[in-house]
Parts: sequence; structure tokens; C-alpha cells
Amino acid sequence: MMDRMAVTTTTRVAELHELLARHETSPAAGNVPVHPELVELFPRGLRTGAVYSLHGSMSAALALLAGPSAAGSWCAVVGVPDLGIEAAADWGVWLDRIALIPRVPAGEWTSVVAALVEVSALVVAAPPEHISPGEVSRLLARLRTSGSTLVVLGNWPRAVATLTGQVTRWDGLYDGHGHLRGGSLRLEVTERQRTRYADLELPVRP
Amino acid sequence: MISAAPIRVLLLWCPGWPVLAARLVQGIAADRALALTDRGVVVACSPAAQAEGVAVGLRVRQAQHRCPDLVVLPHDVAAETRAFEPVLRAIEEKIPDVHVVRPGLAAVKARGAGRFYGSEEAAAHALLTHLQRFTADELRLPVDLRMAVADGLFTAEHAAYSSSARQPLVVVPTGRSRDFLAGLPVSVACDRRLANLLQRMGIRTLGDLAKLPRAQVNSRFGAPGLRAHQLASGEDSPILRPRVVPPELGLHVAFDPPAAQIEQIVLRCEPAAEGFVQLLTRSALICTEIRVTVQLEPDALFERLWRHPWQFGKTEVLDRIRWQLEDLATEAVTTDDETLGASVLSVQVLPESVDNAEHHAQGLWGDRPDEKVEHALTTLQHRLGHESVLTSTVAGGRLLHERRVLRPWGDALPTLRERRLEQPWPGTVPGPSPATVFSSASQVQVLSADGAPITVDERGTVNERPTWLRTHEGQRRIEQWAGPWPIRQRWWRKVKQLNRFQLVDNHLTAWLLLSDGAVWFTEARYD
Repeated sequence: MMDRMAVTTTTRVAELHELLARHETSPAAGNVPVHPELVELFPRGLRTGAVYSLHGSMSAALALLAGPSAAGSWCAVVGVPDLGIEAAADWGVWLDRIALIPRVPAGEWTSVVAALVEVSALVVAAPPEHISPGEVSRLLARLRTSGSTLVVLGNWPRAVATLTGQVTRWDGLYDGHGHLRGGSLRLEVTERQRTRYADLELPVRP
Repeated sequence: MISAAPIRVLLLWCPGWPVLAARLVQGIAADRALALTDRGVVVACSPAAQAEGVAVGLRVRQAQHRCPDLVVLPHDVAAETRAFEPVLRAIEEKIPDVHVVRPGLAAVKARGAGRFYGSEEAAAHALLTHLQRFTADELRLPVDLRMAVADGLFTAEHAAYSSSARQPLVVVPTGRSRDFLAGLPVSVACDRRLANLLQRMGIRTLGDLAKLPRAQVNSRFGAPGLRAHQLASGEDSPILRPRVVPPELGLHVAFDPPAAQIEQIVLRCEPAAEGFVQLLTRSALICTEIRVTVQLEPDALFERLWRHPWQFGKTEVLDRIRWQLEDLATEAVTTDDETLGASVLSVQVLPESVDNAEHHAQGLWGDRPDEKVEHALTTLQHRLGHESVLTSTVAGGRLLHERRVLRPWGDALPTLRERRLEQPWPGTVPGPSPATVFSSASQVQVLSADGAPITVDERGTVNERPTWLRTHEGQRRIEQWAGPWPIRQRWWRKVKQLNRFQLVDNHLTAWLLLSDGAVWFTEARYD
């Protein structure tokens, strides 16, 4: 009885492994997908193997996470202990495909991010105060072979584009009454000295 | 589906088993009035309680009113099942392959036993005498035991119910189920709604039901009607599923002489962990919860439950042992991180929840992350510590940091029910969710136009219009604001009442602030 069960389980596991292998796509195939609201800004998605530098807005970071997450890829958030999980879920981020590493010792930052880009489509990371040029190149080299994208929350020496998020309008709150109902977030992308922008309505409707 | 030839079943029934089991487990005297309750309703009671007027189906309050010294216990099916285990073992000593219908009701196939003992009656009597001796010697409790031999479980169960203390064995001959069942009310074979309907149609007994043509019963009452008709005709399922005796799973490593080095202990546990996982695999089981018990030399136990969302492998088991020992080491004040304060006598790992492996086969590429991700995150967790790599989910709560649930990677997240998301949470913030929820409170100052601090009194009145927000980054002008929105709950500090404010500053950053009247904290930021 036991033996027979074990045999059927083993064969079934083997079959599933085979299926899994068939379904797995090769890494570095194409770009990292983006949320439908951001398609205008990134018509071909985020470039794999590149670093984007994001300023000013956590919502913009969540919007960037939503794209690959909805496509079923894993994402990681490094060094952001104050991430609004509920807002992430509202943007359509799959919470069970997000790994959070809220606090990283400054000396380990590069190696942790390098390990994460190997397995996830997008890594959002708050950089340490100082990072040596040698570490930057090493990380870039790992990033290029991995087929993943890194979004740094702050300045980064060799970013392909700089993103700036700024709220331009809040609705629903007045002088002493009301409550926030929504607003508008302007996301600016500066790439090769050219700037383009898009206005996202908050809260986003999935 | 159901074939027309049910097997002969020898059934054992212990009347009032729930009460007996509760008495056995809790050690309550036989003459005490005892009632077992489930969701406020009595589901079983002892004869002493019955004598006082307590009955099944009564509300607890009414039962206590009728019998003031009533012992009320919650109905614990798990404990009942555990208490029934010795009885099952006693049956297995005589006749193998016991099928447990429910605690207090067990069945075996009658044919083999009947052939061995000469006749079905002889087999039943042999088992009865054996069990009577067993209950008197082992349980030290006069257990009322009833037996029935019949075609199929359904008939056997009702035959057992028709027995009496003086005549504990009822035998329904082969093929006579229909006649035996004819006098029973229809409610025993179907749910309450169908029974009600049948009774209103004048079909009161199973005999009446069995007389109707099956095809018409099926078309009129559907599957439940068909099932009831089959049961009434004495056609029960021919399957009797024997219980699977759980093999002795678990790992136990003793240290002689006692060990104090973590590495050494983990290394010694490795072969045992390997065996533990192999045994699970051989039994086609998956273990998702283990209890690690570390026995320390000066007579102390350090126990901890570890959960895993998928299954424990060898490295996972060893990791949990290591983490638990590391926790012990940090608790003990020693200069060396790798040495425990006390010596370890033994390490024990017991599987707490195991499941059939086949139920989890889908998980391989459904819920479970693929191997690469799992490996990378587990490696990171090794380097940075158990609490450093987290997974998250949203739960119910009033304060935003309560709504964010973070668990170490590899630990199971709370289930949907534990998260209580669908419950109403008065005091939650309407509108969009803030993208930044502060994990620790930082104090800020909210000032009026002339720089005086804003206070909120107990009735929720703000002394002046909030005009300036001073954080550690600088001072901002408040453009729009609303509040106070009271939250009646404790927060990081023990305060009577918290007020929440929402405001937008001149940089168009929106904030959620909490105030206990005089001191202000940032809760979240919309950015």
C-alpha cells in the first residue's frame, strides 16, 4: 500500500518537473513588462540589465513593481523598511512574489542585490550612502548577465534614465474636513537629456 | 458508484463516547453532571445531567439553569479521537483493518472474521468479550459496548442503535436490510430539508420510500433522494477503508556527553534529519510543521513550533534546529556566539502536521516558487539572519502598521481567516492607501500660525487650525487637513485615545499623523 503510493508520487513528481522545465522560459528574453498605465512612458518596457534611478515617489516604485509582478515574475525590495504593503497590493503587485529585505548592512548591499537580480525580474533598492565605483561595475556586470532590471531609490552614477515622481494634485481634502479621494502623480523620465512625462491617476484602477 | 452488493460489516458502537472520552481525558467522576458544548449548544451530556433535565440541543445557559452544578466542557473531537485510539488497537488485536466511522463507532469486515471464528455471531462475541476485558483492565471504566453485524455500514449502524444493554448484539441476516430498515423514519437517511419534504408528502418511513420506483425518486429529489432510496433498499457502499496506522515519524538525537557547540550539535543531527526526511518521502507524506524540542542539562526544555509553507527537507530541518540553538545562545549571556550557556542533552524533532504528498503535487508549479528563487532567498537568509528576508501580506486592523503582516521567508503566512480582512474595521482610512507606512513612529510637531503647539482635547476638539508641520527634515506649511478621526485602541504607547489626522503640505506631500492629544507621530506618507 505504502510502496505503491510512494511510486505513484515519485512518478507524478517527475512528470511535474518535466512540465516545469518545458514551461520555463530562458532568462534575458526581452524587456521587463510595465504596468498598463506606464506603457506610454516605456513603450517597450524597462530595459533588462539596466539601472534606473528613481527620485521622490514611493508610489512610482510600486507602479514599476506591478508590471513584472503581474506577469508572474519575482521581484525584490531591498532597504525599504517602510514599504506600504497595502498600496502595493492596490497597484496590482502580487504579494506572494515579492521578497523584502528591509535592512541590509552597508557592506553587504552589493552582494545582496547581486544575488537578488539573479532570480527576480525587478529589484527596487535604496542604496547605501557610499558605494565604490568598483562595486558599481561589479553589480552592473552581474545585472547584464541576469536579464533583470534594478531601480535605485536615489542617485546612481550610471543610470540609463532618471525617473522623478511628483504629486501634482490631491482631491477630497479641504480645510478641516473631507478626506483624500485621489490625486495625480506626474512621473518624469529623463533619458539621454530628453524628458518625457505621464500623469497617473491615484488610486490606480486595475 | 454504489454497487448492489454491500459487504458484511461487523460494527462496534460505544454509546455516549463523547462524554466518556471527556471523562477519561479530564478525569471527571462518573456521577458528575457533564455537558459538552459546541457554539453555545449542548451536543452531548452524561446520564447524571440527563436526569437533571439537560438534553442535547439545549443552549448552555438553559442547561446551567436546569442543572446549576453542571460541568460544561467544549466538544473536542481531536481529544475524542485520541481517546478512541486504544480501543481501536484492542480491536486490531482480534480483527485487522479497522475502519473508523467516527470516534465511538468502528467497523471491520465481517466475512474473514466470521470464517475464522466459525460464524459471525461467534466473531462478534469473541470481540465483545475481548473489549469488555480490555476496557475494564486498561481504561478502568465501565464502557457500554454494542455490536451489530449487517450488510453495509448504514444498516449496521442502525442495527447497533437498536441494541440494548441486555442484548448487546444485533445481527441482520444477509439481504434482509430492507426489512430491518423499513420501520425507521426517513430522517435517518437524508438531510433535514429532504426529510421534512418527504414527511409532508406522507412518506414517513424508509419502508415507504423503498417502495417508490427509484427512477422517479431520482428525477423528483435528485442525488440526495437517490442516495436515500439506495440506503432504504439496503444498498450501501461496498467499500470499507481501513485506517492507516501512522508510522513512528520523528527524530531524536541524544548527546552523551552533553554538547554545547552549535555546529557540533547540528552536525550530529544531520544523519537523523536525513533519515527523518527519507521516512516521510517513503510514506508519501509531506510535513509542513515541526516541533523542535531541545533538552538542556539543568532540566529545562526549549520547545518551538516551526512552520513551512511547502515542506520540510533535510536542510530546512537542520536550519530550524540551528536557529533555535542560536536563539538559545543569544538568550544565554556568553562571550562566544557559537557556544550555548547550557549543555544540550537531546534534540527531538516531531512532525506536527503531515499531509498526503499527492495533495501537494500541484504546488510544485502552482504556489511554490521555483527552485532558483527559493535557493537564492534561503541563502540570503543564512547570511543575513532568519528575520531579514521577509514575505508579506495584508491583514485587518485599524492602524496601518498592523495591516501590514511581515513574516520571515519560509514561515507560513497567516491564513485568510487569521488575517480577518473581511471584518469591519471602524476607523480605517478611506481613500487610496499610502505608499509609505512607517515601521517605527517618529515624532513631529504640528504648530498653529503663531508657532504654538496644537493640542486635541478628550472630546476631539482642536485648539487652533494646524498651520505648520515640523519634521526632522524641515518645516512645511499645511495646506489642507482633516481630523481628528478617533482610534480607540492601544498603539506603541499606552494611551487612552489616539486621533488620526490627514494633511497635505505645501510640497503636495500628504501625511497621516497620529496624536495622543499633545504628542504627534507620523504614521504614513502618501508619496
